[in-house]
Amino acid sequence: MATTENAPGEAQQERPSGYRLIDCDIHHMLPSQATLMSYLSARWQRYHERFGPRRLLETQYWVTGTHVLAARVDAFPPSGLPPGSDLDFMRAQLLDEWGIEYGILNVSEVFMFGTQPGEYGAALIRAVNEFTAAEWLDPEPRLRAAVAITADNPDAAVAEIERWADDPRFVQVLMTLRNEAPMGDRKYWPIYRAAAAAGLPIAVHVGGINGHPPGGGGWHSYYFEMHAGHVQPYQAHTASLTLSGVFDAIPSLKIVFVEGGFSWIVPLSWRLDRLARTLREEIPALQRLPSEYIREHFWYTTQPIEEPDRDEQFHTMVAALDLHDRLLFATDYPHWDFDAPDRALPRSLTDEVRRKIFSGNAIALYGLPLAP
Amino acid sequence: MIDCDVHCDVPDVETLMPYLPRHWQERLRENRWSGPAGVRHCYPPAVAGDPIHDIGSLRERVLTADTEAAIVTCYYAVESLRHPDLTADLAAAVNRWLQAEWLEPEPRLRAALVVPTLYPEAAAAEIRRWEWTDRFVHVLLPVVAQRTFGSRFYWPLYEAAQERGFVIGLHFGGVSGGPPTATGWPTYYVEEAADMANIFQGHLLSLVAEGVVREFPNLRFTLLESGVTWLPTLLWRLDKMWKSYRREVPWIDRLPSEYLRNRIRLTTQPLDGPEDAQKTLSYLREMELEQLLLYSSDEPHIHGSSSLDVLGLLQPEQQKLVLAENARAWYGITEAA
Amino acid sequence: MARHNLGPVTDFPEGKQRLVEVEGRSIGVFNVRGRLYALRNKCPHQGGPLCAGRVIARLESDRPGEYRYSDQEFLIECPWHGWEFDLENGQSWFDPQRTRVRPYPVTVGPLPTKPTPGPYVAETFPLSVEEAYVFIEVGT
Repeated sequence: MATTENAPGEAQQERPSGYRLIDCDIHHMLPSQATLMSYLSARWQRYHERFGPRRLLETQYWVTGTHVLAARVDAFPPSGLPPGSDLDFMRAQLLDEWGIEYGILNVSEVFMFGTQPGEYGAALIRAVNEFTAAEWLDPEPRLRAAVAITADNPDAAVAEIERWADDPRFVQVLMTLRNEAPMGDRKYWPIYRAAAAAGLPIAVHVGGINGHPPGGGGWHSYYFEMHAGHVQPYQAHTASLTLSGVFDAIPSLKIVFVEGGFSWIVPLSWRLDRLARTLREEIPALQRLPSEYIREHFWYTTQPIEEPDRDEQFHTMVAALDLHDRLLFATDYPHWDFDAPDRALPRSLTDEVRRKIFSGNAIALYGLPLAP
Repeated sequence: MIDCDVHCDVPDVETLMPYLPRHWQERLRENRWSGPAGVRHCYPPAVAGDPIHDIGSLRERVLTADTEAAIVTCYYAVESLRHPDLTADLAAAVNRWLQAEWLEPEPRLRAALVVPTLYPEAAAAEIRRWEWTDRFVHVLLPVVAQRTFGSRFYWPLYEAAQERGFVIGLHFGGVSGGPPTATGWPTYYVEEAADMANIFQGHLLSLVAEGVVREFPNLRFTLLESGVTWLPTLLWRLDKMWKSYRREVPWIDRLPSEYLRNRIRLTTQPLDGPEDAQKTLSYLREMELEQLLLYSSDEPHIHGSSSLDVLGLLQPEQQKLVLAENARAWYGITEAA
Repeated sequence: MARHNLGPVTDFPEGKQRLVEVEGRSIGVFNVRGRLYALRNKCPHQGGPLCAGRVIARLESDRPGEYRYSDQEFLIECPWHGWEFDLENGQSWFDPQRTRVRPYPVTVGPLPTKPTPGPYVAETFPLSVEEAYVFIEVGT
């Protein structure tokens, strides 16, 4: 007979024992406005207080949903800080709990700040990167991070990349999913050159505000469809990038699609190839088929993991484009659609592929040093 | 064979004049309007093929001895005209032209009904006007639009369609005034055409989320010229999302994929499979897509290959279903004597 | 099966949910409108701490825009992915096993009957109250 009041949930045992684990998408965030202010100059503190962001997140879809701040209900720290903003709690609930060797931070604030205009936008995003370095990377050696940028201000974005290029703890550059133009647009090429020169992949994550309905066919009404509809913009970026010639111009450019799923890339590659072949005359300078660029230049985090009707269908998708080497495991902590390391991947994956997805691919992509 | 998507084009504005009210006859002639630019935008010459302007050309170039029926789509970008009367009158004119000069002389033909999608009440009125509901078989909704198609904004249109027994035909193309992608203006046509699949996807999400599948239990949707192979990954995502967010949309009382498999069909041109026809067939089988297919040639549009390359590999029983029987059941096309 | 005394019933007031550990298992005990329920604190989906979730009244709807709450039927919503489980019997609310549309005939008209509950079931434990103490039965 044992009754222990308020025992913590059974430890997330059965962590994938024997597997190194690298979490390629964790969302830390500012604990408060005061913290943000402390990283802004007086001028921008005042602006932030008196005017604030000028691009409005058009609606707060999560309000009609079932998860406050789109977070796991149990990810609210006892400290009272917002989910993902308490390092100690994140250590306990995520890094220690699962034995994560490296975690890659994609800061939550990029969602809103990644597309704020002008010098103010550049100042905000710089503040966020400084916060990341000082309050997350400095105290916690397991963490790595992305350099967040304001992509629609390419000059500022290039400056921001160059600022952090020599800090090996910044392992990629973070763009939001919804910018003013599709990613292949030439206005973004200076950003890609700067990232490639620094040896940093370009990561793209859900977020941003560009004034266009995310589906292309109108604004969604519900969180349900909006969230399910995150996939479409990634597809549009794939079309844009693979047709733009950017990979011929910048051969070392790497693209990481974060939180976009991956199975859609398979039918999209077929569709793009068909169109590119049939209409060769439209883009005479294009040297290769889109599927070839897709195979060489794209990576995908696994969360939210595909849950097809049958495991075989999962394998069909992975095999169709040899995605074994391209999938990067991610939990998306602290969001509600968190993928548990011990349960998310189909059981039928081979040991070899599992290792690649859990760590091998990330180690190769990001050049992460391994502990002895 | 029943060919569920064949294109004809209005040769010039003068062709429609007999079917337009006097006001537009005069005004459009005064202003020397040469027709909506949206048609050429959606189908530039590189993909339009040689447009089919009259029934004679259709018979000669598309209808074969094996064609039991063909559904003609006439896209006229009426949604690009915002004037509430013009957009409605143009739609009506196209329909009248189709009836007089295509359906009446050719009993094998069926047609898509053109409606002013910017004004759903006016669209409902146009739907209710038609007696020939067995010849006009679906209501044409080009997918590039300002509102997602599940929106309550469109419900008057759906009510009329359900009442009169029309299927809804979601079709490649359309003009909204905004970029036809989620992320801004594409650079190339190839890019825009590839991105069109995303717009279909967004509308399917909407039809489920907004509960159109529940509110209009007899309403069915054909996806025309949409591509086929992208559908499964969308269904998986929808089902996964529903398991988590059912409480936001409690009128969805079962897996979204169940609703959609029951309520949608897709035309076969283009299929968008791998180049190897056998591999495409394997994929269609594994993803259980065959039962959702309705054959289409999409003539005269240029796709680089025909879906018949894949469909020809089906077992005879399956072939019959995809080439004719699925469409017969879906549209209630009675067997020719 | 072993029976364990969880303590006085006054330790399980209405509207509260508590976690207890019994035979190495974390179990959530709920008092909802005077009735007691016990569920394993582990979601069958991905293993999340099910009993850290919210207790919600069953919400149904017959048409868009309508929201109908039950007075009597309650569910626990997993704090991770929001899956809903019946407090009474742990049954997941939806059918995760797709009923495929087979064979191939087109059905025109409303869908057939609703799907049956699927195989995802959260583990529940029988509770009883005797002389103001709460007992739980746990299998080995």
